[in-house]
Amino acid sequence: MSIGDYPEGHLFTEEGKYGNAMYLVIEGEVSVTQRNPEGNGSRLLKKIGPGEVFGLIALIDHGSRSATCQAAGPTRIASLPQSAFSLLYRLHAHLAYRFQYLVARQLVRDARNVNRILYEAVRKEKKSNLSDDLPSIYTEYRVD
Amino acid sequence: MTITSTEFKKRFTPLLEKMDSTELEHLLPRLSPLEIAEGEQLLKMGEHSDSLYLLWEGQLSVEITGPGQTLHLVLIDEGKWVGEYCLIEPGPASATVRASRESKLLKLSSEDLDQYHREYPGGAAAMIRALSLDIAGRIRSVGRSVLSHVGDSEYRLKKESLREDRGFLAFMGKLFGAEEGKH
Repeated sequence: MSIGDYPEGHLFTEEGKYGNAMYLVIEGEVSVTQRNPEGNGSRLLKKIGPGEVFGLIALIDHGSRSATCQAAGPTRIASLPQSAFSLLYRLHAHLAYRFQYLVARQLVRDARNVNRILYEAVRKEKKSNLSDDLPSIYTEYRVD
Repeated sequence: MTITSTEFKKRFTPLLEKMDSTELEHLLPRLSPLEIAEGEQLLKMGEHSDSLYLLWEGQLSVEITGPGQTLHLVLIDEGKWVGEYCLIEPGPASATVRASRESKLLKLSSEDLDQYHREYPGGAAAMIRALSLDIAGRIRSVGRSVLSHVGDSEYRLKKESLREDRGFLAFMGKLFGAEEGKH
């Protein structure tokens, strides 16, 4: 793991590109943004602070970055490249477990957050017949 | 319920990638078998849970409940599981799960996993990794296709995803029940 100081605006991950490292914020804040599908600019999803990790998903499933992460001010960030992670995994099982667990826990928190957002969105949409749609979709889904 | 390595491997293949046979042999005794009758509730939405439940045999039904309403989402078949969020970070169950048929399950609590990792950290890491891959895949697919962003922290469901995407409810099920969703 290497630790570095990065100024405001420094790009850690770029949406759509492949990445092979994960990051831990030691000091400062990182903005997480995604492009608007309509093509006009991007929107802020969240800000990440000290003690939080980012760049996880791509490290685990070797996919492309789902968001752009950029330093919101001066930051101190630790980075762990995929190669080092794979090496750690093979050589130090206890460490690998601890690290894997940390990654898993962050994913669970993110997933629970998406759950919450979806649940609220569904409740709001009930006014527009969503609750009528869902059972019929479920029925459709069940027919195979 | 006879739990052998062979039978376990047949049912839960995705979980065992990167786990060797010794690690698997020592995982099995840490799983607690349980049987539930048709209609019986396994997990209640909102109630604290700390365990993963592997479905050995039978079928589970996942639903979310709101004021005066219950929404059935998806069914879980043999070889799948529920509760991995609560295994990794104990907390409230995100959906209600009940048996739609008489079912046999294997339970692993976060305490069980902790003890297992002390002796077989490689096996425990393999299991966590497999669960993480599953979760990561779901976040990625649902986040993009189902939600559209309307201002900071405001989300709305993409209406088109309801009609055109038969898998929409699968997404919902995956996220809500979720850990309980049809894979």
